[in-house]
Amino acid sequence: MTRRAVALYMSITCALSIIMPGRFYIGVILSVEMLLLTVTIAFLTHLLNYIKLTLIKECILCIYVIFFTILFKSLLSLAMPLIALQLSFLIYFPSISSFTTAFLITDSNKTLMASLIDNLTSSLVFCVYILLFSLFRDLFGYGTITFPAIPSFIQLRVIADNTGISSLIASVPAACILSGVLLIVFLMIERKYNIIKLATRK
Amino acid sequence: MLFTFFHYFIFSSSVLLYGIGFNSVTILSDKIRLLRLSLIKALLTILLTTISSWAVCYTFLIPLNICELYPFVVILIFLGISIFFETIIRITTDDSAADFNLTLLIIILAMNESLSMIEAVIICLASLASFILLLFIVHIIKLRIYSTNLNNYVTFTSKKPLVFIALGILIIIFLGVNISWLNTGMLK
Repeated sequence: MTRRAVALYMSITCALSIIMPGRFYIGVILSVEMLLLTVTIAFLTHLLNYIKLTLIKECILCIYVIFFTILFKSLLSLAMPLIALQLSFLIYFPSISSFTTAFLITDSNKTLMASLIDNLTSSLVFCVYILLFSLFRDLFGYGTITFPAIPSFIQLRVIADNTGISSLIASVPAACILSGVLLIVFLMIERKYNIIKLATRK
Repeated sequence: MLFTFFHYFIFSSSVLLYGIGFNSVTILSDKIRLLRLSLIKALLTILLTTISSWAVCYTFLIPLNICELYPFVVILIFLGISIFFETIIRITTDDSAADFNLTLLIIILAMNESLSMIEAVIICLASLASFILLLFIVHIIKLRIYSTNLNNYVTFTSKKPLVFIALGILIIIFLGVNISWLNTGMLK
């Protein structure tokens, strides 16, 4: 990835993590959705390349993304109806996002293994960030850790009586500010790393 | 009608709270003058797709009890209309106004949360208006960053964190009135 692609990747990840509710189980479900989408898109791209259907490949992939999301939502509604109701419109975000169009639906003619590794690397970093961010918001916002379960979710209270002003941490504006701060830290580390890299090259 | 418009425009902004185009608004605000064509195309695509999708859903999906498939109808109609406009723009202006995420998410939101075709159209218009409003606000924030000392060491790509922080503060300004600050639970 180029420096600009990394910056775009980080900003997309941050933007997606801001809008989701500050609960760990939401992070887990969206991560699972993203990983499944990544794997199936890699297989479908390979299949379309194999049968030489490259002209309308992007259209088919866009339709597939919607098909996958409907299927995922239906399965989620069967297993966890409450969570599916809470996610509602948000479930379309990982699939119809700049992340999918910029990093998963690409023109490359790589082998199946190479595209799987490439896509999974980007998705795994994305998922780990989403999981850590939602865990932080859940823990310090509500004082709990929540896990997805059938038919709803399991809640473990970690910090007792955490109902005061700290619940603002789980809100959207706090997530926005926190993402901004994390991006500053990331860019500072990247700048220092580049300086060290240049110095060692000389 | 007016309440629905302002709900998705400001009170529960589709960009700030639903997150539609949250990332795009921070990127596109740099080239605001070049967006005229894209916005006109987005407006036409959104309106035509919403009206057609609503008609198809009302005629076929609702009688057959398969409303869950509405995004599938939306994407099929959306691709047809979007490719048609994109072709016309490329032939006439040699330019591209391709956009997938923002327009599609606005249409799905409108179809998901509306009870009539008119309401769906109003939600679409309000969401697009909210996006345009945010484009201008973020553009002004970026100009402000340029004019301060921050510009000396903040590069092009790293302006984004400051924009995120500014947007967070903007949400508090817009929606702070909705929070009951005197609630004992809030200021415990």
